[in-house]
Amino acid sequence: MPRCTPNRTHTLRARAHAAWIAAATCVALLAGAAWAQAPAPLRIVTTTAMVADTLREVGGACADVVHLMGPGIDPHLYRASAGDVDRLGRAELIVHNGFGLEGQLGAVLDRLGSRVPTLALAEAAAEAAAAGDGVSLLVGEAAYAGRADPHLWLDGELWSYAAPAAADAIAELRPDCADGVRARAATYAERLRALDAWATASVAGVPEGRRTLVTSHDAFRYFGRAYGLAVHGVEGISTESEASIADIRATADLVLDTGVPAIFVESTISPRTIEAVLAAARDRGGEVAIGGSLYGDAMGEAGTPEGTLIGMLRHNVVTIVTALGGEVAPWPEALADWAAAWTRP
Amino acid sequence: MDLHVLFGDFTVRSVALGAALVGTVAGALGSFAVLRRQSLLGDTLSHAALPGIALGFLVSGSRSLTPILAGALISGALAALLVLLLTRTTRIKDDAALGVSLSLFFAVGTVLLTYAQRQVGAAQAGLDAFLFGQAAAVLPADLTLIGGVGLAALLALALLWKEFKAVTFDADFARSLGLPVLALEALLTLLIAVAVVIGLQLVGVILMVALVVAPAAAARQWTRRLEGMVALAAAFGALAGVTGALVSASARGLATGPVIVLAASALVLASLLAAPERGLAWHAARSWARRRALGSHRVLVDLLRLGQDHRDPAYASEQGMLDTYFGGPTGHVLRRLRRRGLVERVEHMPEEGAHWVLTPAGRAQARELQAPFGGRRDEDENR
Amino acid sequence: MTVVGGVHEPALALHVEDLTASYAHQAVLWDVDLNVPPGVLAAIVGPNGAGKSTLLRCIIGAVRPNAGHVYVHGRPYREQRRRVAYVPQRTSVDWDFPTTALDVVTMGLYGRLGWFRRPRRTEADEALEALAMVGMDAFASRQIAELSGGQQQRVFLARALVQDADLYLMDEPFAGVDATTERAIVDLLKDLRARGKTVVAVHHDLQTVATYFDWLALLNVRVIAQGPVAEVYTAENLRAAYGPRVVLLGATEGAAPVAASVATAGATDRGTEEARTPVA
Repeated sequence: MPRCTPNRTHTLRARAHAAWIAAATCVALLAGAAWAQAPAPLRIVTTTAMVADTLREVGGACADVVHLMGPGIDPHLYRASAGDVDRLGRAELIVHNGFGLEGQLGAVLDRLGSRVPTLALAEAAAEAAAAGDGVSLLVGEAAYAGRADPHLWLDGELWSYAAPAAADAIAELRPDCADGVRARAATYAERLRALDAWATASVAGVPEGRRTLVTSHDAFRYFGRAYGLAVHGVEGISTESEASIADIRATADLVLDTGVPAIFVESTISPRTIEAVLAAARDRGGEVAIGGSLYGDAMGEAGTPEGTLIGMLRHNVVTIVTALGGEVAPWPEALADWAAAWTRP
Repeated sequence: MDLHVLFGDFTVRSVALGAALVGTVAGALGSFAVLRRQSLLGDTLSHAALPGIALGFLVSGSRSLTPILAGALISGALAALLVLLLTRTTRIKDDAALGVSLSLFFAVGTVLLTYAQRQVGAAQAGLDAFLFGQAAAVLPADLTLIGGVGLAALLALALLWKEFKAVTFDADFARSLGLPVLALEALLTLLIAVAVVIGLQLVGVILMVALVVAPAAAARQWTRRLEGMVALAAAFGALAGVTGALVSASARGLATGPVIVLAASALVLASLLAAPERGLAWHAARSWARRRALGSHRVLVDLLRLGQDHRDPAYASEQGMLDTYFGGPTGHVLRRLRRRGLVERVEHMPEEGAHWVLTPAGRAQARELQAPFGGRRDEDENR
Repeated sequence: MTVVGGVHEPALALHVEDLTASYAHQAVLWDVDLNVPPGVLAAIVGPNGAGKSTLLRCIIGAVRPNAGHVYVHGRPYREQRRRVAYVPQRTSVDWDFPTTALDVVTMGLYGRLGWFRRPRRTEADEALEALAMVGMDAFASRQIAELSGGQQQRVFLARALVQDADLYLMDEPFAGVDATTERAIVDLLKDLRARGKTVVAVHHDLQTVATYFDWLALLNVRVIAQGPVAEVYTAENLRAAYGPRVVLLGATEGAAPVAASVATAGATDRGTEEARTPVA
């Protein structure tokens, strides 16, 4: 505050002047502080909807998430349109799955990676998981030999490491959101772990000797490892090559050998290959049916429970366990509010 | 791989049956495409089917095969119509018109396919599989469709056999007989389109032309009549289909469609080489035999002429002279002639090389050969 | 024009009136009137591209004319198909087709058989008879690709003969055949005439028109002149048809030339002014 001067009239005017400046500065500081309290949401563009769901849960109001691949879209085959490239280019953060899941987007992501901050979420999750619990990646076979299987999101425990990784990425670009997102990430990770435990318990309800999961392609290896199912896909890890006669025969042989009562189609793949396996197995006297459709490479419709990661995994577990002759475990308490949110009329 | 096991397997049998049906129909009808110099038409029809496939899915909203194949047939027919229009109303020739139509429709099809892929349920329809086919996943319902439609096409062919034959061989003459040439040609094109469409699921848009053209091209090498060519082409098509199915079943990761096409191509290659009278091996063998005979004849005539020049029928010619006149070594020819008793080897001067003289039989044959060559000395010789 | 009970010009074997046809907006035939009496050997001659083949193809219906009508023995062509046999140009067909000589001749009977009926023994016998008429019965099961030009032409003729028609339309039957075949064909034509048949042939060789045929039509997009050979085959008519560059050997103006030959290609190309302008 300026000191009073000896001159009386000059002092009065100067004092008013000073007071006015002080008030203006206070207002400015307060406004600035208020403005800083509500930052613009981070513009995030993701490839798959599973990654988008994770980012939304973690980011909350801090993130505005858009995804490129909707329900029923096969991420192995998806090609970027000009509009997609534009959208990716204008994002503040690009998050993709990584490990080559988005087989046709490699070049685009590489090019944009030098301009836009990019996060390979599954890769980050895997790294964290390896460091934390020593959980290892599954390696592919045949055409995918030597490369990691990218379908990490189907293992709830493993994917729970993705939440803090996502939080870190958001926090780096929106430091003011750091505390908020980290807290949300912790909650989300907890939910995923609860889901994971429930899935393990549910699968345990399937009679021994029936715990085989036959699907259209090898998307469920992490799922099988986590919850105690032997898995077999008619096609390999990627859908890029067509199923051969040998693939179908081998699958039919497996179905008859294990005596599994149900095999499953996927929402992103033509059911023909599974139907062909069915016909082959039935011709040889096998009693097997299609147990239902699973969400492997994509989630369900937005606005339905299956349109979230938790809902997707829940649907898969319920479908598989029921079709194989088991009963699901009671829904965990930690996810009660999630269930309630989705049963509201 | 154990054939017995393969034949007993349900999947292999289904695929082999489907491939055999497709190959039979494509081979039979493809014969007409090949004879009309319209082999590229098969390619145009199959590539042009792509927009129809995408539209069939988009319009019906389901992954059922019937609307998709119906769409394929319609867009294929439209492409053929465009070709007709281009050749009749502009100066563009057949081959260019086929190329234009093919690329136009295929481009439209690719755009539609990319658009269709973004619709929900597109992956379920497995539209991508129509590019290269997905033979392995053929279902009993598909076999019924393929079999039914294919047999109907073959029945139409059998009923109108002589009309199609007349129109393909001589369209103007057929017209003078009162046959509706334009309608018959259109119907024939439609039947070829049907043959193409039923094979799209197994072999795919891109390779289907091979099954239309290759069996017919191979069969042409072996037959003298149209009936034989069409029957053989059908058999070759079926053979390629079954072989392709069996071979691709024997190892993981072998796509069935392309292997069927490879089998058909192998048949063409084998036919080109081995067929009697038209095959390359046949021509080569005959060429070689003729050249050999020509060599023998020339040497015999040379020996005779030398004898005539020296007015001595028993003149012994030195081999070196014969080599020079012949333009190359004659030893092997002379030895061959000796084996046939037409020449004899004699010794003349010790320091010179071998000498050869004609036997009476050799002289007689040489005189016979000399006549067409117009030997001037014939008048001097006593016959 | 009088049409009585559907009959028009019954005295003529072939009556063509106002026939007009074009290709890519160029007139190929314009206002063509042809009136061929029965029992003649008629030749149609003219420069290349003058529309001769097109004329025949219009008659049989392979080409749609812009205008005109065709009557055969008094009735429209389409009612008389059975009485007309067509022999196209030998080169219009791919002779590498897998079929035998007998088979080709049998095709001539397809019109009579109608839909869905197969050729049987009777048809094969008739075809063999027709081949014998042209001296080709020994070649019945020979692949047509193995036949010489003259033999191919004879097979085509046999195919027409087997139809037992009253009017024969032939497109350049003497083109590219050897001398023996040419004589054989002439004998055949004369035999047809003796039996009361009519032959209308597009002929390529001016030199032999007068000796082989007894009726002539000069065609260059329009009919220049038509009638008995002696009347029509004049220097004046030939010049009118072929353009001024016709070389007439041993001829005088107004009289029938002994032989005529057409000079350089300029006068015969479709693209030249003379050929395109309809001559009055």
